Formats: sequence, C-alpha cells, structure tokens
Amino acid sequence: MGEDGKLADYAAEQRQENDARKQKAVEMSAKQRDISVAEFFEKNRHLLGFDNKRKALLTTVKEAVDNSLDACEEAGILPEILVEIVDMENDRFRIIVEDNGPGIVKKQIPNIFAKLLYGSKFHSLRQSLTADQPVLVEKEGSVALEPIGTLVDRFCPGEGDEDISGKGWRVPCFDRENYAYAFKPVSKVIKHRRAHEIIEVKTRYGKSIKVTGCHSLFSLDPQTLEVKEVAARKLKEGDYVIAPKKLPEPEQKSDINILEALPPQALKKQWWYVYGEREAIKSLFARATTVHKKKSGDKSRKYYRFTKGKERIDILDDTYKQYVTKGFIPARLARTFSSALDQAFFEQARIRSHHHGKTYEVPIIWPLTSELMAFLGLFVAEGHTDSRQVGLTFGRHEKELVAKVQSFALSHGLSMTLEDRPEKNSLRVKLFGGIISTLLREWCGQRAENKRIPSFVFSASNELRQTFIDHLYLGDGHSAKGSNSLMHSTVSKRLADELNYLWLLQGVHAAQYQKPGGTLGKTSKPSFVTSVYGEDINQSNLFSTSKRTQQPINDQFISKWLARNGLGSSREHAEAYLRLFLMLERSASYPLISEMMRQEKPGYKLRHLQEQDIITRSGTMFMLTKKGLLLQQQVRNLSTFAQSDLTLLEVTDTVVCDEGDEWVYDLSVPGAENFVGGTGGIACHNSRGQQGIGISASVMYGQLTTGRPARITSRIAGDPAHYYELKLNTQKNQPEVLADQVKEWTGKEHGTRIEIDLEASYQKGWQSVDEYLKQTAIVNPHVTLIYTNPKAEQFIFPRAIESLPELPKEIKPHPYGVELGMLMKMLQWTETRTLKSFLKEDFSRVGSKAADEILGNARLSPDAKPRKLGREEAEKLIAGIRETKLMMPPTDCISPIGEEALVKGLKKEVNAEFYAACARPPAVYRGNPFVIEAAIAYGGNQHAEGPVTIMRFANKVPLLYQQGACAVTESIAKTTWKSYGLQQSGSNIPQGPATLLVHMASGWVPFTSEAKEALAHYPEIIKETKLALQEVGRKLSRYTSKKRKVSDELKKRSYIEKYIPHLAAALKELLSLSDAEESMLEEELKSLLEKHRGEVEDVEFDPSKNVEYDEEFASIGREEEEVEE
Amino acid sequence: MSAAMDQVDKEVVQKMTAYAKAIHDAIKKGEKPVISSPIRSLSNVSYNLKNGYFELGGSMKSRSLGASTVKGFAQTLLMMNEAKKVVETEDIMTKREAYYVSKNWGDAKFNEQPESDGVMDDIEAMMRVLREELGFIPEEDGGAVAGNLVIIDRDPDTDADVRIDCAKFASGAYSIPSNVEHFKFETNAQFILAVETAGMFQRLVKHKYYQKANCVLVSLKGVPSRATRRFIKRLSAEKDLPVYVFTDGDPYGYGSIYRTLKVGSGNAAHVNEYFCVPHAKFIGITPQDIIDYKLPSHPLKEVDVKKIKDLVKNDPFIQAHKQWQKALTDMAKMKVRAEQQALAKWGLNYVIDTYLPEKMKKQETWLP
Repeated sequence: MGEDGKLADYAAEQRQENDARKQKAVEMSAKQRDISVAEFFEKNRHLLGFDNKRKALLTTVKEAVDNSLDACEEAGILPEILVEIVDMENDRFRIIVEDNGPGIVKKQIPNIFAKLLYGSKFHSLRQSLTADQPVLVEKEGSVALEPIGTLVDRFCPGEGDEDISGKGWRVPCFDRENYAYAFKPVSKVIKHRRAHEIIEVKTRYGKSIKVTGCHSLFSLDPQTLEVKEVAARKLKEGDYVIAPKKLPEPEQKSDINILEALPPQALKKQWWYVYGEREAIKSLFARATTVHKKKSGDKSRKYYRFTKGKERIDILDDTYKQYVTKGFIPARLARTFSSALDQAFFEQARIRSHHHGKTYEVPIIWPLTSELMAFLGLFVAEGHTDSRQVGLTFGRHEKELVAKVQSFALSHGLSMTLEDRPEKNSLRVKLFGGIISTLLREWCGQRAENKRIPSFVFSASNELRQTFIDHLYLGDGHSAKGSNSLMHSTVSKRLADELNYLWLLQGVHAAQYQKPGGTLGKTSKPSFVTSVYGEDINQSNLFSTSKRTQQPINDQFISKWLARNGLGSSREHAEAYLRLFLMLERSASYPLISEMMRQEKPGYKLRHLQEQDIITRSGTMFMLTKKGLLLQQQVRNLSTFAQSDLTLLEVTDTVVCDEGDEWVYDLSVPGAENFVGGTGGIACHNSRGQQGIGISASVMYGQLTTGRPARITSRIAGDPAHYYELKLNTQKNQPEVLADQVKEWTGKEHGTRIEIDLEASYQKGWQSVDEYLKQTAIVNPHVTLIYTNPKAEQFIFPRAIESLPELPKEIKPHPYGVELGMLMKMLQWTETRTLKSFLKEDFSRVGSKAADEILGNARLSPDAKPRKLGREEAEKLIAGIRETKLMMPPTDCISPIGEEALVKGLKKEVNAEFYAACARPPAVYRGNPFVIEAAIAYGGNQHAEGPVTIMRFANKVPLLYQQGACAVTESIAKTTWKSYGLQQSGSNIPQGPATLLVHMASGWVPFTSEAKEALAHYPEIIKETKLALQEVGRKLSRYTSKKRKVSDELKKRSYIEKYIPHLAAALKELLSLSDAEESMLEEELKSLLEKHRGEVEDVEFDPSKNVEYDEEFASIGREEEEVEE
Repeated sequence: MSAAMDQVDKEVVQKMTAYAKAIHDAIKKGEKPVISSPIRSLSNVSYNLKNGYFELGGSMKSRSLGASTVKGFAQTLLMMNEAKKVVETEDIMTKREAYYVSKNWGDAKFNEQPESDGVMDDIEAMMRVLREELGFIPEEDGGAVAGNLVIIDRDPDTDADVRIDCAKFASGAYSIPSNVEHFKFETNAQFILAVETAGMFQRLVKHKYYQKANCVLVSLKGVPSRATRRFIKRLSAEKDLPVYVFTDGDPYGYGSIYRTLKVGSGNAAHVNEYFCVPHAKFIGITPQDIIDYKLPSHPLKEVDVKKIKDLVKNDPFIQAHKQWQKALTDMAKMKVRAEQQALAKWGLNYVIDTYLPEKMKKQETWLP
C-alpha cells in the first residue's frame, strides 16, 4: 500500500464513518451540545436500540460482545467470552460480559463506558435534504418559502440537532391516518454531514427535490396502494411520488404593520417619524429608565433610556418634551418597542417623511386589499426601485393597470407621476418616497434576479392571493383574453419557486421549467417559467379558458390502474366496484347483486368478474376470491386516496449527484414526520434512523432505570487488575468515577469484565439474546462463548477453529466502485502529479498497463494534472474505467467466513439431509469490495410447510430485526427457487424445509439505518447475493432431483412387489392353476420386471448421520417462538 | 332362466380363457405380455354413411407389462375373472357392484367407480364382446315407453310370456329394463317419437298424444342409455317404424342426445352396431324453429359455444351433414338456445295441437 498522506487521510475518513466505536471520544466531546444527555437519551431511546425492555437487553449484550470480539481480534487473541444474565426480579437484570481481551488502559475506561457519543456519527446516516431545497414554513402567521439550509443554520451553526419546539415554527404536513393536510409544529431542526449520495428526483410539472439517497419520499405501495415511504434511491422513472393536492390554509392575516418590514439600518439613517397619539407616547416613555450622562465638558443631562437586548436608545429629555408636544417619535423607536405600543396606536399612526421638500404621510397599518395585491403583483412582475422612487412601465394600451397603481398610490399617501413615452409606446409610472421604495425592496427583492413574493401574500385570503397571482401574470404581459395557458417568466428562481407554492395554496399544480438564457437581449441568464394550463386557469379571477385539461392526476392514476386490472377506466367505476366489493365482503346472493347492478350500471358484468377470478360463486351466493379481496383493499385505498388532500406526481427522472453539499438538513414534525419541500412542493418523509451508540448508552440506560453504576474490571497483561464503578453525569455528559481500586483477579491474565444492572425483559424466541449469541457462535467458529441465561441455563459454544480470522486490511479504492463525486474529491486531494500516476498510486488493481488502457478509453492524456481535471474530464475518466477490464479487488481487506465454516456452523444448528455453501469472489459497490457468502440446509427435521428460515449476517454479526427491509431478503425473494426444488409463489420468500444463510463481509457494510439491522439495497449487493444463492440453489437442485428420482424408483419397485401376487392370483383362477404354479408364476413375474433395475442409492434422511448437529444448540432461542414488532 | 350356459356364454368364457392363457404363456417364455385394445374416442371412429353409424378405426393402445402397468394388468385380469364367474353362474352384475366386488382385491382394489368402469370398457373392447354378454349391466335404468305397443316379456321364474300393454299405464309409463334382447313386440303404430325431457314426455302421455298420432312414445331422459337405444333399435327394426327425435334446441340435444341415438358415440364405438338407429330423424327444436316460432331463448353458455365448435370441427357425423353444420353455425351466430318447453309460450298444448303436427308434415324442417 502506498504511503500517500492524503489518501491515508481519505481512508481514515472512511474508517471514521465506518465504525462509531473507533471514534475518539476526545474529538467528539468538542461538538457536544449543551442539552442534557439524559434528555437526549429519553427522546431518542428508540433510535438507540432501547425501544422496549426486551430490546434493551439484546442491545446491551450485543454492544458488549461486539466490543469484546473486536478487542480480542485486534489484539490477536482467540476470544473467550463469558456472558451471564441474572434475573434480579421486578424486571431488573444484571448483565455480565467478560472477555480475555487485552484489557483497557485506565485513562480510557471512563470515556469508553460512561460518555455518550452523540455527535456526528449519530446523525451521519440520517436522511436529509440539501441546503438549497425550499421548504414552506410558517411562524407567527407569516409564511415563507425558505431554503432548508438557511432555516436550520439559524439554529444549528454546526453539526447536530436543535430542539425548536415552542418556537412557533410550523410546516404543512399530512396526517398519516386520514391524509389531510394541516400546519403542524416543528420540534427539531437537524443538520449533519452528508454521508450518502444525493438524488434529485424530478417529476411531472417540472417539480423536483434533492435528497440523500436514503431519504424517503412517499409513494403508493404497489401491493396495497397505501401511502408508504420510499427511499429516493429506489425511485425510478414512471414511479409516483406524493405531493399535496392543495396546501393547507395558513393562518390568515387581514393587515400588515409596515414598520416591521422596515429594516433597522434604514430607520437609523432616515429621518422618518411616527406621528401618533400623545398619551401613548407618554406611556411609552414612562416605561423607560432615566439616566444622566454628560458629554465632554458639558453639564450632565437627563436621558430616557430604552433597552432591548443589545439595542439601546437614549433620548434626551428636551427631545422627549418636543415629541410629546408634537405627538411623534422616531420610527426606529416605534419599531423596536412596538410591543409597548398597542394596535390602536398604530392604527391611528402615520409615518411622515419628506420628498423634495414635500411632506407626505403613509399609514402604518395596511389592510390587505385587492388594490394592494394588484399593485404588488404588478410590481413584482414589472417594477424596479432605486433609493427614492419606484418605477413601473406599462404598455400604452394598459391604461387600466395604470389606474390601479394610481388608486393604490392615492390611498397610501404616495405621490406619483405618469410619463407618456410614445416613442417607446409605453407609459411610465413613478411613485416617490424612501418608505415605499424601502418597503418594496424588503418585500419583493431589489433586482430582477432577486425578485420574490412578499411573505404576507401567502397569509392573505384565497381571493387576495389570486388577485396577486393574476396581476403578476398581467404585469408579465398576459392579456386577460382567453388562452389555454398562463405563463410567467422570471430570472429569479426564488420567485418561480414561490409562485409555484402560491399556486399550490390555490390548489393548482403549476408546471415549472427552465429556459436557457439567450445570447441576445439584456439578460443572458436562464429564466424560469411557471405555467398553468387548461381548467386550472379558471381558478383566476381575471383569466379564463373554456378548454378542458386532462383528468386530474389522481383520476389518471386510478384510470390507469383500473384498466390494468381489467376493471373499467374511471373513478366512478372504482367507486362502483368499491360498493360491489363491500357488498361481497360477506358474500351476497345473486338477486341482491343483480339488483345493485341494475341501479349502478357500472359497466361490469358478473361473468367478467368471475372470469377474472375476482369473484366466485357458490350456489347462488357470490363472494370475493383472494384476488378479489386484494382488489377490494386496493380499490378502497385508491378511493380514500383520491378523496384525500394528496395527489400523485409521476417521476420523470432521477439524477444521482455525489458531490458538493457538505451538509444536509432535516426537520422533525412529531406525529406526522413529513413536510413539504423541493421545487414545486413534494411530500418528504423525515425518517429516523436507528443505531447502536456503543456500550455507554447501556451504561446510561442502566443508570436511568436502576440508579446503579456500571462495574468494570480490567486487566492489562503484567499489571494488576483494576476495578471501577462508573456513572454518567447526565448534565455534563461527563463520566464520574465512583470507585477505582486495584483488585485481585485470579485466573485472568488480561481481560475486561463489565457488569450492568438494567430494567429489561427476557424472552426467548427468534429475536432473543439466546438466538443472537447462538448465531454469533455459528459464524464465528473461532470464539468460545459461555452463556448463562436468566433461567440459569448454561450454554457453552466451544471454539471450532483454532485460528483467528485474517484481520481485514485497509485497501485503496477499486476503480469500479468509484463514483463521480468521490473521484473528483480524490483528484483534488491527490499528491500525484499526473493522471497516470494518480490511477496507479491511488487505486488498487491498477498497474501501468491498466492505467494506460483506462486513459486510452477515456481519451485523456496520461500527463494531465489531476487537480486541473474538471467535471467533464472526470466523467470521461469514469467512462474509461467502465470500459476497461480490471482485476477484481484483493480479498484480504475483508474477512469472509468460508464455505466450510459456514456448513459447519449450519450443521450445528440444523439437522438437515443436505448442506451446501457458496462464497462469491469479491465484488465492488461504490469502491468498497465485499464478499457474499450463502449456505443452505435442506430437508431433515425442518418444517416442510411455510417459508424457509433466513439467517442474515453482516461482518459475522447476526441481524435479527427488520428482515423484511433487508437486501438479503429481497435477493432471496427475487431468486427463482422452483427449479431448485423449493416452492415459491411469485417473487416471495420460497417455501419448504430449508434454512438459508447469507453473510456479507465488507470494509463498509451499508445498512439501511443506524440500527444496523438490514442491508441497504445496492444493486451490486443484490446481484452478488442472487448469484451466491443461485449457486447453492443449483447444488440443491442436484440433490432434490436425485432424491426425486430415487423416490420414483422406490415407488415403482413397491408397485411391482405389491401387484404381482394379484396378477398371479387372477391368472390362477382364470386358468385354474395350482398353488405351486401360482408361486412359480410370481417368481417369474418378479424376475421379468426387476431384470433391468439396478441398485437404488439410499437417500433416506438419517437423523443420526449429521454428527455436528447439536440438538440442544439448535433449540436455543426456539422455545417460545414469537415475532416482535 | 336356464341353468346351463348357452352357446353365447360358452364362447365368451372361452375367449376370456384364451386371453389369459396368452398372457400366461408370454410370462412363461420370459416375455413381457401385451394387452391391446382399440382406442375408444371420436378421433378413432369413422362415420360409415352406408351403415349409418360410427365405426371403430384401427388405432390401438397397447400396454406391455412393466412397473407402471402392473397394477392395470392385475386389475384387468381380476375383472375378467369376475366376469367369467358371473357368466358361468348365469348371474348379472351392475357396474357399481363390480366396483364393490373389487374391494376384495386388497391393494389392487379400485378407489373410484370410473376406474372400474374404464377397465370394464377396456375388456369389452379388447375382446369385442358386449359387456352385457359378460354379465355386466348398467346401473342406470332405461327410458320409459308409452303408446300403442304391446311388449311380450318372459317371466324370470316360469319363462311364460308376459304381455305388457304400453297404452295402459294411464298417466305413467313402462320402464325399459336393462336387458331387452328377448322382447317381442306387437304394434300398429306409425312411428316412434323419442323425447328428450321427462317433462315433455309427461305432457304427451297425459294428453294421449300417442292415440292422436298413433305412435310409440319413448322418453330418453337425456343421453339415452344402452338399453333404451337397443330397445328403440329393435322395435323400429322389427316393426319397420320410422323414428323421430324431439330434443331441446341446443348443442347438447343435437350433438349428444340425437347423435348418440342415431350413430353412436366414440367411447362405445366398438358396440355401435347393436345400438344405433341410423334412420332416426330430427324433428326437435332447430335454430330455424327458434326464429319461425319466435321462441323465448337463453344466451348460449360458454360450454355451449365450446360444444358447437367441437362438434363442427371434430364430429364425423356433423361433418358428414352440411345441414347440421349450417344449423350449428347458425346457432353460434344467433348466440341463443331454446328448450322444448319454450313452446309453452304459445299455450301449454301448443306442442300437441300445432307444433308436432306441423313438423311431421313439413319434412323440410327436419334435420338428418
């Protein structure tokens, strides 16, 4: 391996991501938030593997045993691990785990066991949006479309999460029960480093969202048609994602206070005064403190002092007197201390300012009127500001619009000029004054590319919002005459995004697309077009069309689905079917149904339904078949969905981008766990990951539930043993050492022993500690495990192999798995000077020849400077790599179990007739080499009915939970087992007397979540798993077909034996033969029929043949089978 | 009944013994014995226009003794042995009884009656004898007879003649027994009218149609049993009476009931010459009748459509008669069928007063 520093860093970074246990506690502590860890733990215990008492027990044992195994293997010691669980009664258990590892140095003990690491690692795998993705949020009645990054950065400067419940932030989300949209409070904002690829999901109407590949959106479950989360990376063209049909109505506003919009800096500079009621001004000053201060040389003077946070305003006594007499205060004071002034004051008050010597007054409270909305719409489309004036240009025929602006100016105390410019065929309207120009700049943005929609427009009534939209289109040059589309074009992406959401508030899915900038004209920037077609236009108060749009999206989906299932084509059909299905739920008689058919005329025929195997007839009664029942459920869900606040967007494209976006963001909405985001508004699921957070979480859990400290004994070879009692200071997240003493530890030269008391519950079964330890023993034949369960039953799993597995080596990435983002990173960091040496040095399995070949295929120069390579070249390089045949990555970086050990392990567990295993050659996903191993045990004393038993392992760790979500399960289901002699219906888990074991070994095993319970669905992993399974399948089929042949043969033989006497007896009677003749005839028949048959191989199952089988072992974890969750 | 076997019986026993001997000898020689019998299905029959019935073709199925055929061999020989015993004792055995007798055979016993029926048919076909001659009689009774006919039967105990006047059953009818070989007939009737359904037969009997039309009425009760067919064949042959068949207007009535009565079936092609009535004529509800008489109809069921297709495509009888092909194709196009009772639309006795007299007159409305 090359001693390349940068690359080592790179590898180190990977390692860091790979394994939380290897994180250095010191590094992490710098990033701790100051919320109490206990609080953190309470809120996240389900994420930490402490959802329930039963899981708490397993998690603790799992963490402790994993630690021990790692410590031993790294130190080159054959592990001997003792696990004891003692029932202390009242749901309390004591867990004792003792190993013969190298022991832990004293300094490290507190940090390892009693400090909760909940920094970057904890969130690094959570699901998130990129910073630029807009989300719709509401706070105190004001609605805004804000990039999630801006929103979250406000609270979270660095990595982590922040509780913002109670701060009044709300987001639209749909209820998981009834699919109704409403605004709900955000409890938490989350920010973390990106660890996954980013996927941009593009849908119909030009909508899109950028999320990490694991982040879920929502879709319809293809089986049940229920709304269900789906990971972005699993979406493909033609799938559907869910979006709100219409956004929920935000809290409505009827007026706005313009002072709130004027920025403090502007108020400091400008001589703007608020004229209002004198008594109110007096009472405001009554709340100020008085101070005396003197300026240099002067005498001391009295000041009224107002303080709010860091802001301090001192007002001279004399000035105050003037204010009271004349009834005004500086606008800055009124704004900063507005809470001390009541609404009544502001309603009366005016802001006075001067323009070219002329005084003018603007009201402070502006009611939201259609006049204001019309003006704003026109301005956003059309207008621009400079510091003192606002200009709008209209065509000379647009006198009506000019009149609207005029009437707005009049009612808001603004002076205005109108300039006719015949040469340009235009009318120029100017409004004067710093206040209006500042306001418009604050509300609507200053320049064309920054234009936006004032946030209060979102809080206006439906009708007013529409007025705004209408005038935006008018101002953009749309005539009110009938046309089948409304188009608004802007160079401001933000404006386009906001307009899209505003339409969504109106219940219209507008389409957005980007138009590349032209080379001619003023702007060469791309513009964003927001258009609305057909019937949707009639939502407008101004525009209308008589053209019909296509069916609503939901109806389209329903039609398609119904047609595919041969059930007609419209939503009415679906509803009619639903009624029929409901009727048939308990089976109905023919007259009843035919009566209903007569009333409904839904266009179905009973015979048709019978032919489709949807209903079945028994006598005169009709009932739903299995298929019919499924259809019924589907139709019901469809119908619910169609009437809900949700709609479907067809995915048109997904783009994987693997670069940039250092940070990704998420929101947490308790109860709903979804919000609306992206361009155009798509429903996002904020899923919570789960993870093991290390043994310290168990220490903490034990402490919280029993109040007892953790007891640790550790001995390093040559030193005396130390005994510690540790607690966690839950306020500071600091370890507290309660006891530290030297202790006699006889019979142990080195090792660690931990004792934790905790509240837990012990149950047997598939997801029990017993099962976990047993499976650990199966795939770790080099370990001796001695386990005593709470029922005081002791199990000894003796070591079967006297050698340690090869320790995995770190390797350079293999070119096949490198994605664009990673490649570009590597190109930046490399210390090599030429592209050729970059390929040779920084990758595994690339020699000089291979490098030349790659570069040849990529059409890149070997001497190119890696750091100067742009995106395009990097893409070429990737294409070049794909075209080049390379050696597979070395296997010494991973430690597979091996076919022999797999079969050995399985033989212990299952007494079967036949065993087979297959270890695949190493393959690569995302640059990570991995090995898939599979094994099967068939027949014997396994149940012939029901699905096969599946055992999953990742790096020799058994995976007990989330079988359904695992790539292994998917691979098994997608393999065709029928030809191998197992039963299988469709793409389901095969049935039959078999156990399938799959192990994935890799430097980095990708889990679907931090609970590390299921493998992620990478195509390469699924492909390899399938290949491994097919290989064991082929071996199995050789056995099953042999078995079938033999059993046929045996059957034939027994036939001959059985019927020959009858044949002879019949002939005897027919021909009146003697007894002797009869028996001779029998002999002759036998030799005649068995002449050509050879010896039969014995394939009978002999339970005693498998000497490895350990009945007691196999029964562990099987006593009370039950499935949790 | 005579105590000693008659000539026919002796021949049958000899045939069976010879068959068994051949198998025995093959075994003795160390050869695998072979049983062959003609294939009994429509594909192996031809419609002999001259004789007027289905004749068995030359295709044979042969089974040589082996592991998979040993059970069948044993069962065939055991069944043959039972038949031999029945013939030797001048007894009879119904198909159902034969099935129960097999329950004595241990492992070789039949599990379902169709298995034993099949073996019986095989024996019948491979030895070219009527199964009645083997002593096997069908379980089902024959049809019913009423009208201007006197049947002369024999008393089983005394062998004395017994005269049965078929006009004297009032509203009932004489039930045809399973064996009609010894019957003698006296009649002055003009023709035999075979009716598909018991309901229509009842109506014709109740209103003494046989007197009005001077005929013998036979109720077929669906596809006629062998006894019924044999009865009609013997009566019409001996007394030279034309036979008219009156069925529902549906493919079952045409292709199963009428066709079987007239030319036989594929399954029993080896014995057709004993049972068929080649000169029978169809005067039942034709597709044209459905139109002409404006009969209420039912849509064709899926099985009907299939049956029509099958008849047109595979049935040698239909293929030999263009008129039948046309009738069936018409029906397929009309997509409807009509029952005999549909005539009741015009009045309950319309069939007696109008339909039958009209049909008898108009030969052009008949089908061959």
